[in-house]
Amino acid sequence: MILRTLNLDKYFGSLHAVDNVSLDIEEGEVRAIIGPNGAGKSTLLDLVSNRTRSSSGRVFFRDSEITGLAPHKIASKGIGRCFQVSKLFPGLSAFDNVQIACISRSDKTYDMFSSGSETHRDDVLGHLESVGLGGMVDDLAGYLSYGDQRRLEIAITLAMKPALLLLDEPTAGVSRAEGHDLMRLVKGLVADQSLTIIFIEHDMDMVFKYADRVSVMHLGRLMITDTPEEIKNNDLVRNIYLGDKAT
Amino acid sequence: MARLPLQKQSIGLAVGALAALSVLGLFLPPHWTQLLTRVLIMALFATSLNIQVGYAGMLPLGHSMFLGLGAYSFCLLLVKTGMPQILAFPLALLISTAMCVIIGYLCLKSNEPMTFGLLHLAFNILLSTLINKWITFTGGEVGITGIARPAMLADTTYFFFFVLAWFVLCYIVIGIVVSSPFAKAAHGLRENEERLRFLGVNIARFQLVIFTISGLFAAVAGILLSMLDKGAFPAYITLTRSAEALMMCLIGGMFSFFGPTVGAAIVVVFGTVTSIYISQWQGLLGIIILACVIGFRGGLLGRGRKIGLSGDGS
Repeated sequence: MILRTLNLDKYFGSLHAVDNVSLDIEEGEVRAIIGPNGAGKSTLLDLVSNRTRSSSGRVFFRDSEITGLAPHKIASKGIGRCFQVSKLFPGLSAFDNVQIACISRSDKTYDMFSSGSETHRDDVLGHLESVGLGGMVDDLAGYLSYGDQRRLEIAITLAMKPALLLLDEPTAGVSRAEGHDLMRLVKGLVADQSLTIIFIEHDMDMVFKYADRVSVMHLGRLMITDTPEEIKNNDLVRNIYLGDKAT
Repeated sequence: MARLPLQKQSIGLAVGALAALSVLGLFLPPHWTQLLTRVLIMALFATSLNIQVGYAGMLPLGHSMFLGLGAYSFCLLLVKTGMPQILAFPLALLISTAMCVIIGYLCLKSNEPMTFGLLHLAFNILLSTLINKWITFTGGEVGITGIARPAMLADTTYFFFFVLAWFVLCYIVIGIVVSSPFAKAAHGLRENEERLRFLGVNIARFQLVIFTISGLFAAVAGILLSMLDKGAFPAYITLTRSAEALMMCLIGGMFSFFGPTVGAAIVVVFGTVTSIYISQWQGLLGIIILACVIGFRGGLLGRGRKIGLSGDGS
C-alpha cells in the first residue's frame, strides 16, 4: 500500500466537496479517478498533497501519516503533483524548469557557492529527452505549445524522483494522438521507475486503455473502485454519467 | 547580458571598470572622489536590494531600514561603548543581520506578496520614527555626528580605496551567489511560487534566507555610508531612500547584475550635480524614471524583454 486515505472530508462552506473518501492505492498501480464535473476529484488530490487542508480524515503515505503536513514536506516525501492547468516557471527555459526540480531533490536549494548552470546537466537533459522535449532544451516554458507544457510539467515532476505521481487531467486540451503519447509515456515510466500513478481523466478511452483500476466519484463520494472492464459494464456508473439518480 | 549570472565578458568589463575607477580615485579632486565613493556605496545598496527584486521577484518596500540599521548600530556602538572601529564594524553587521532575520521572519509570516511589501514598509516607518523620536539614544533629527574615521582612512583617497575594496569583495560574493543553484531556485520563486513549493521547497524559509543575504549587504553599505558621512542620520532610513533604491534597480535594469549599479551612478551623480542648480531635482529624476520604464523596458542594461532575464541553462 503506497497511499491510503481514511474518511477524508472537505467542506467548502455548506458544500460537501469530498465526502468520507477512503482510498487505497497499491504500489505500482495506475489508478484512474473519474466522475462528472464537480465530483470532487481535483479536491481529493488537493487534500492528499495538502494544497487544501482537509476538514477531517487522515492520509497515509507508505504507512507514515502525512495528514496536515506542509505541502513542501509531502512533496519531499515523494509525492509529485501535476496540475490541471500546467504550473511551470514560464519565463525560464525548459532546461531551467527541470533543473530547479533536480536542485530541490538533491538538497542543493541552499548551495550558494557552486556553479548553477552546470548542476545536474546530464540528469536534466535525460529527463527532457524521456518526455520527448530533447529538442527544446532552450525554449522558454511559457512559449511551448500546450501539449509540450504538459510534457514539461511531467518532466519537472519526474525529476523529483517521486514514488507517487498525481496527475490532474494530463491529456486535457491536447490532441487525441498527443494524449495517447503522453499516457504511453506515463505508463512506461511505471515500469521503468517503479512509479505509482493516480490520474484524473474525463476521456474514457484513456481511462479504459491505461488504468489498472478505476475509482468513480460522484457528488464528493467514492462510489466504486474496480477494473476498467467491470466499470465499463457497471449500471451505477452508467447512471451517474447519464445523469440519473444513482443511489 | 543575456542572463543574470556573471559571464566572462562581463567579468572582463568589470576588470576594466575597476581599473578606470582606481585611476579616477587617484586623480580626481577630493570632492569628486567623495562623490564616487558615495556612488559605490549606493551601488552596493541597490545591488543588495536587487537580490530580492530581480532574482527572487520579492518586492520589499522599506529596504532603507537595513542601510539605517547598519549605520546606526555601527555609530551607536562607537558612541556608547567607545570600542575601536575595527571591532564595531563586524559587530554592527552581526546586530543588523540578527535584526534582519527577525524583521524578515515577521514580514514573511503571511506568505502573501502584498502583505510582505506592506509589512516591510511598516517596519521601515516604525524604525524611522523610532530614530527620529528617541532623541536621547539616537540623536533624533540631528542624528549621530562627529564619528571620525580611523587615522589610516581619514584621507579621502585612502577611504575611497577602502570602500572600493569592500565593494569588490561584496560584488564577488554576490556574483558567486547569483550564479549558484540557490539562485536558480530563486528564479523559480520569482516565476512560480506554488510550483516551487510542490517541488519540495520550504518557501518561507527560502525567502528568509534571500531576505537576510540582501539585508546583510545593505548593512555593509550602511556602515560604509556612515563612515563616509562621519555619522548616522535619519535621512538614511526614510521611505524616500527606500524608493530611491528601487528606482536605481528600475533605471539600470533589475534583470542584469550591473543594472542597479548603473542606476545608482545615475541617481547619485545626477542628484548631486543638479541639486546645485535646481532645488526640485527630484522632479527631473521622476522624468528619467518614466523615460526608463517606458522607453527601456527592463532598464538601461535590460534587453527590453522579460525573456532575456533567465538565460538558456547551457
